Amino acid sequence: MGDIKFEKIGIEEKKVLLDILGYEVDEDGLILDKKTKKEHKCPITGEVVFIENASVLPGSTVVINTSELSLSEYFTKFVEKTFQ
Amino acid sequence: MTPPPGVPPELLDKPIDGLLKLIALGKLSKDALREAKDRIKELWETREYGFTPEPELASGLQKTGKSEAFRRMKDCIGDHSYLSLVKLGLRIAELSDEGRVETIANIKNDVLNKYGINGVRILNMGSTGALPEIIRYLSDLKIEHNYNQADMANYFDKIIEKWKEITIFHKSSEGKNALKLKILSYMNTPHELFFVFASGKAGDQAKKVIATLNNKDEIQKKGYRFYLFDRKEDMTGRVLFTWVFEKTS
Repeated sequence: MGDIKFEKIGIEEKKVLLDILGYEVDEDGLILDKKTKKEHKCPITGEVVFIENASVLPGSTVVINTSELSLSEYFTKFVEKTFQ
Repeated sequence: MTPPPGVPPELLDKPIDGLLKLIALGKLSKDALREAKDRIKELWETREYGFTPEPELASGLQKTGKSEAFRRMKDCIGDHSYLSLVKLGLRIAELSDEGRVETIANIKNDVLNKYGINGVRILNMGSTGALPEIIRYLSDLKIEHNYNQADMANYFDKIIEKWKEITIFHKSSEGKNALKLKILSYMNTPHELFFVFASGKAGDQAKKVIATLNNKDEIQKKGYRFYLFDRKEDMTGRVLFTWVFEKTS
């Protein structure tokens, strides 16, 4: 597994990506599961995720609230465990 | 690859962020939109891209996760719940060098809320420069005694738990005599294990104090052995000295 290339994209581009990956964003900016219409919960923090603070990450698809701690835990739980 | 009719040939050569931008603009034909979405799915499945408001931070953590120190620690303690904090601790060492006080404070708050004070101690090991030396010590210990990861995880837990009691961060303003008395007091307690950290002028003082104690056999008489690790500080060029004292009898 090579390095992941991290990029910042605009909100509209992020909405497009989430739509392709099976999510939608409500009028308040909350990310929802497209099928169930339920609020998506961050697998790291357990909290709902707003589009502005969302990181959309591979492994397979992980949508998390962004902070130093959550990103660190993302690598430990979803990247290093799977690929190293 | 030949695109279907109605789809511009250059579309499928675009990078993933370029395709996302094109779709967001809403000007693609139905066929081109479908092709662009399929291409995005294809690129996404390579697992080579991640989108985050903090790309620099994510790249930094990815780099830290591939560092020798982190790999050694992972080998030592396995998938310990504190492994993410070890990575953050190593990252904090760099942030400290860069003077990123606010970022460090935010990280500490998050860690305190989720992991309590022991989590913050791991970060403090990072900000004081002690963490790489702790990792080195644990890694050497594992190899020397052929301990397993569960043993090492327990050992690391104990170090975190007793961190304040088993560390001496010597400053040159405190003087050599104060350090000598502290070391003797730690050996008299006695602590099974303790660490002395010092850098720059304080490091020179500590070297003299410990050499004197060693020459007078005071360390051995109290049933201890000690190791010295040193490493070059990245930004300041100062050498951080770390002594590990272990009770042997």
